[in-house]
Amino acid sequence: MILSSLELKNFRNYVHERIEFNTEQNIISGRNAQGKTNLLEAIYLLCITRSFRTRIEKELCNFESDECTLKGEFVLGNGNKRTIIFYYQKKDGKQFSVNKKKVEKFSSHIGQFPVVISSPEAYNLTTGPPAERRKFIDIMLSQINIQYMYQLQEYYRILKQRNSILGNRRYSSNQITKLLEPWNLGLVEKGSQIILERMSFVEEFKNILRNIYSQISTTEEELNFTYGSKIQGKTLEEIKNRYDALLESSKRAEMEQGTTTIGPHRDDLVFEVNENNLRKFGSRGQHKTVLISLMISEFELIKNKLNETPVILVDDLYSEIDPKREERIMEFLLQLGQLFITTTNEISSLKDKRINRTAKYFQIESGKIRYVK
Amino acid sequence: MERYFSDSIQHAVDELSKLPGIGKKSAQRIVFFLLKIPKPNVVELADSLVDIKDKSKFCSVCYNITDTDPCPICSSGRRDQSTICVVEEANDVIALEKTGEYRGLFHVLGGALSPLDGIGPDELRVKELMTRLKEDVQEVIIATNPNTEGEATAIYLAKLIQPLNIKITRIARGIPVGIDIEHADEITLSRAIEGRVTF
Repeated sequence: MILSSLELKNFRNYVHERIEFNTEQNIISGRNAQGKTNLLEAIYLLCITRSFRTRIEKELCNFESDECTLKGEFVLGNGNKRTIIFYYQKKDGKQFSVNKKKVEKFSSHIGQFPVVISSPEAYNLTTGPPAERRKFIDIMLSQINIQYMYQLQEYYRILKQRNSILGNRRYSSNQITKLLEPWNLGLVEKGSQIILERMSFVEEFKNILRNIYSQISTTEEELNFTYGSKIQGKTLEEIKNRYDALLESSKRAEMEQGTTTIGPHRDDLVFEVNENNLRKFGSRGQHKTVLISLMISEFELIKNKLNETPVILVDDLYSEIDPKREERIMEFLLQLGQLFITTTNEISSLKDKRINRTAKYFQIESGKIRYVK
Repeated sequence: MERYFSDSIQHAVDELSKLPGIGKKSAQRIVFFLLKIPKPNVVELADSLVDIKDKSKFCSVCYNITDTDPCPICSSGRRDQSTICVVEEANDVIALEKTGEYRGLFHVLGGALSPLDGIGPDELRVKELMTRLKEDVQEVIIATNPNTEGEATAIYLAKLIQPLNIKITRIARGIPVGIDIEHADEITLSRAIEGRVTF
């Protein structure tokens, strides 16, 4: 998939801009706080229906406006053209249309226009709490498997209902046990399916990730990736049995803490470099290399599953990375698909590099975008 | 800002916009429509609204909403007395009746289990259902909604009724009539496959 043009009206710090992109490599240069990330955010939003930076959609509008519009013209792998329009109004919220047809269910939009992103915000993924890594795997699985997204929603709904029983201090423990009963079946059913999906995903993803890491890492390091859960098992049946048993044995803990203590909402993904836990012992450079490898692996996976090449967004590629690694990464990214890269480096310094010869350059200054020859 | 409406119009708009599915704009349209039509028509509308509050009550057997107690369904001699279809709301009875397919009795629970909203088994008409099952009932069809809360309610009821040795069934989920398989969404389709039946 290729994004051929983008139009922004009152979006973030833009008033009205329209730009046409190169099919290979687009380098967006500018000092800090000029609107580089806003541009990537706009592309991401058109594809995924939500921002990667904020949940507060009011922030998307220009200070002086109550509404904003984005229009992207995409060309799919089979040559078909799709125009996606995002329209947001502070009063009524957001709307999407594809080729002038209104998108009724956002969930049906996700996965049709694949995108991968690596941004400084992503540091949280390897350094932050487990919730960040669960979010990562959930978003990725939702893009390739709509059934998963539905199961996840159901699971969290059951969890909320269940926790409201556990958190209610008026009930005796006997009452709680009785009230929980009708919810347990659904919890184990949906929870087991989520765990199984995540485990088989990690198995499949692990090899791709290792392979890419070893290609872009300049040292001889081995990356390992596992799914961390108390509930282990090879088949759905095994997982369910283990889940049931653990739910039974954690009854007391649940009641004491007033919340469900085991399940996919407590699980984690564990990265290890040369058998050391990355989160605890990794260097800044290792984190960055893992993050880029993750993005590339995600790209490969989505491309295979959806038969559509995702567009690649890289926010601030050149910071905190040594020139040798940088060149390897760029070389790798270039053979993948259409690239959008932001940088604080000057365009003149980038143009000299052999690797950037196919690029189209854009200079951003206070919400104005200029094409640089 | 200037006020557009007189107090009486504003009052009517406010009251109407409390109704489900009616926003400020629709409420305004209704009010201006009512201003145009003759007064007796408006009085008839108002009376009919008061009437439903005065006359409607719950059927003491199935808890459907009715003018007469027991309701026409419960008191009909032509209905199959040995089958009870359990639904969440009175609306659901109307929907199922329209099919003309079902000839048994109903039981309206008055909602579904939802601890978040403070609704447990005691808040639903479960005891009343269990009392009815002591009579000669052979099948209970659980027709709660196919969502999280409806499923939990179905599981709860099934466990409760199981010891009574009554046949328990759950309504099927699947592809709507008139829709081709290629147009059904993935979730509906996979549920339809899950709930497939033998020929």
